[in-house]
Amino acid sequence: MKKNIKEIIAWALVLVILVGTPIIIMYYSHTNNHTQKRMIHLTGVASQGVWTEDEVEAADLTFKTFKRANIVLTQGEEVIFRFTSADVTHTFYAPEIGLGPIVVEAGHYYDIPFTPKLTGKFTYYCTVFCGHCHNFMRGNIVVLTSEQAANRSLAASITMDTIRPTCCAPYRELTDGTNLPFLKRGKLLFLDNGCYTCHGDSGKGGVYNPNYVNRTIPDLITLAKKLKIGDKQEADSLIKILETGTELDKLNDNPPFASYCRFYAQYNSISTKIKDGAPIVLKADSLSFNPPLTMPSWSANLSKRDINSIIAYFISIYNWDND
Amino acid sequence: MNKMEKESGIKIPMDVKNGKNTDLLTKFPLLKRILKARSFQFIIILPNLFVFYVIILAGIIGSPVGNRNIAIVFIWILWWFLLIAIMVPFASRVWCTMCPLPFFGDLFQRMAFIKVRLGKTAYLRNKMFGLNKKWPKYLTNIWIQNIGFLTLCTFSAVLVTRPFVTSIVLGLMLLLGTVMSMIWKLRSFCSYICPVSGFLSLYSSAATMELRRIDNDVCLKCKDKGCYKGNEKGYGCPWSEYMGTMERNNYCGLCTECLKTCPNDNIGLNTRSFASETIIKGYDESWKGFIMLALAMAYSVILLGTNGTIKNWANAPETGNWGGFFIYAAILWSSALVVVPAVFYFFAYLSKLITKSTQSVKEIFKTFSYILVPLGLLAWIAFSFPLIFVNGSYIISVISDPLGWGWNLFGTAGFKWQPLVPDYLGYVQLILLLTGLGFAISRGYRVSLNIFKDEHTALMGLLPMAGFALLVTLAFLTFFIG
Repeated sequence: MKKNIKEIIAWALVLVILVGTPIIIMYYSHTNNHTQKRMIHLTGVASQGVWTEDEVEAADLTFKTFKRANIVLTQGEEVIFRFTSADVTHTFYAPEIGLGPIVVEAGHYYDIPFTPKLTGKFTYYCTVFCGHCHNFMRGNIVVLTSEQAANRSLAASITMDTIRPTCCAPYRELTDGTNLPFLKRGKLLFLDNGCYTCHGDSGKGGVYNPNYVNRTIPDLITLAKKLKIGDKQEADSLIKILETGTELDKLNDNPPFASYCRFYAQYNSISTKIKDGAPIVLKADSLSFNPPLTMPSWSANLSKRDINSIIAYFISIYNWDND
Repeated sequence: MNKMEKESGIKIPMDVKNGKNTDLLTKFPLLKRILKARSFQFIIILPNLFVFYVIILAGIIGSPVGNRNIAIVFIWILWWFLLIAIMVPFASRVWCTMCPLPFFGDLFQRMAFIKVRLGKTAYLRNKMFGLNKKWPKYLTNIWIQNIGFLTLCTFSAVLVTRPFVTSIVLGLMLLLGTVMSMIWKLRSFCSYICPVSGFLSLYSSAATMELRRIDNDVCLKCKDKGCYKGNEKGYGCPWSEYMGTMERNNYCGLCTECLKTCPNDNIGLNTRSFASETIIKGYDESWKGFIMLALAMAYSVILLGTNGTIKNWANAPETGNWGGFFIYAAILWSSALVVVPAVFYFFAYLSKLITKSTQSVKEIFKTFSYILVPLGLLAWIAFSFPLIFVNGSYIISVISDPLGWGWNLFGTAGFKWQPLVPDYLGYVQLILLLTGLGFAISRGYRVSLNIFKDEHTALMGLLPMAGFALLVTLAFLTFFIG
């Protein structure tokens, strides 16, 4: 009988562990996160270039695609932002509404109380280079007035996610190492490195950079004009020069066309900017915050020939008919 | 000469044979009472089962960040250090006493946690459930464990950093252990499959503790053989070991069943000197030594080293550099299975050449491979010290937040990463490696005495092997200290 009692106790203990453990975990998790204020839990995922409100668990980091957080607040609402990172160190920054910058280390939790005073649509960013998809790590924080919040259809139209696109896998053609045509390589490098997240779809520009003196990031479709190239003929000859890998400075003594020296000065300035980055951006309001979008250095990702192929691609797509 | 010596033709060291060791059970009667209690193993496994369960859950639903998840911090920092630096050298296979992996397999076979079922199953006097098939004779070695361990370690860069992968591997091992218990008799999973058990078997031979018969004659006269067959007090040895002839720690899982079943109270838990069991019985054990040595070197480069390219190759599942990974895997496997054994064979050949021995090179190679035990074990301990000293502070924070969900159970979740005496780790590693070298040479001399005729020849025969041990130590010193 005594032996049977021990056995019964043993069974009971094992059952308590097997059934009780998940129950206790869920119960504690529920009570621990209980707060009167709304908690907005944002997790940075560098591999997908998103701040997400989805739960990021160990099991699904590899398989799941996370939805970018499109945060909707009501003016005057007291909320708590809980930041964490699933992989590397990020910085969350929404400068226009005074949230951040908050350095978010992997696995750590940062609870930041916040009450929005301004209304409108604001952009948040990650401002430390966190990997291949860093340029994609941005989204909207929409702050509604209480009247707007009460009108559901109006709220839905205002709060629609307007940030595009999301980070994607590298282009196979590039990673396969095949010999791509020079101009196509330039186009794919532009896409693959996510340059369009700042320079706009197809390099059309128009991406807003808060407190930047020119308001939006420069486009690239008019690069041929910025390089002081006179006409299509000059453009074609320059593309050929860039493709053959000729040292451009050696052509200064014997320029291939009349305006070559002006082109060369501009080319030098732009290619250096791509290679070394431009960390300082002129502010619209010199006493206010730094614009969050700055040109990073691409020297680790792009060779000189890569940079030339991107420049050549944008020279090639310039529409000379509209000149 | 006892039975083991007759069978192997190897002399067992006198300090082992003469029983100069201390029997802890005689010295500490309370310990004996605890170990003889039927519920002992259940009670010691239960907390581990709980932690193991939390670890598996954390690996699935917890934070994907390794240093904030109990699955990574407890398994690859805390458990690994305790296992390799404390349990194995001082307490042999005591981990097997408390390992939760065979818990459900044992439950299935016995249909009980504590009580004993009498009956008849093959040679056992216990009623065992399941198919109870006999494990194939050609697989009664540790080759599968060798290959399994090497395979797991090939993916170590992901295994030890991704909680989900750790959790899945542990879960699969638990499942495999349970399923195998349903098909094959006793602990076939632990004896022949479990990759951890493989290296525990080799390195436990160096442990300063052993479970052994007290008096040979008592065993010879014993008709009951309860330790092997089981009786109303307990189960027959789950590892199929017979205490009457057991001379090595290698395949004793310290389950303490024999303590309960021995009708003559003839089992002792002895302390002994380090690396006193200088016997290698088969090439599977020799190769385990080579694999462990090669892996310790590989890990030193991948986990502690500074070469980004090799780290990138090893971490292919994350970096996607599968071409590099295959190069890394090919180097690792060929080093562990071919290059290191070939170099050792060359030194064994030199040993034969110098001594002009009539023993075959193969025999010299196999017998001398024991020096890999103290050498490898101390190298692994030296490798593991930085893990606990540099990353040990994560244990304090993860105790309060095991799933990395922002909890603070004991107020230590915010404890900052803080490496402990990093400036002195190199010296600790140096001392450990030199200790390993010292034991490899001194135990190598014992081995050499068993192979060669006289002390002078033994000394000459040892020289090339000591050279090998010195080279390995220098290699590790380069990896660890630079």
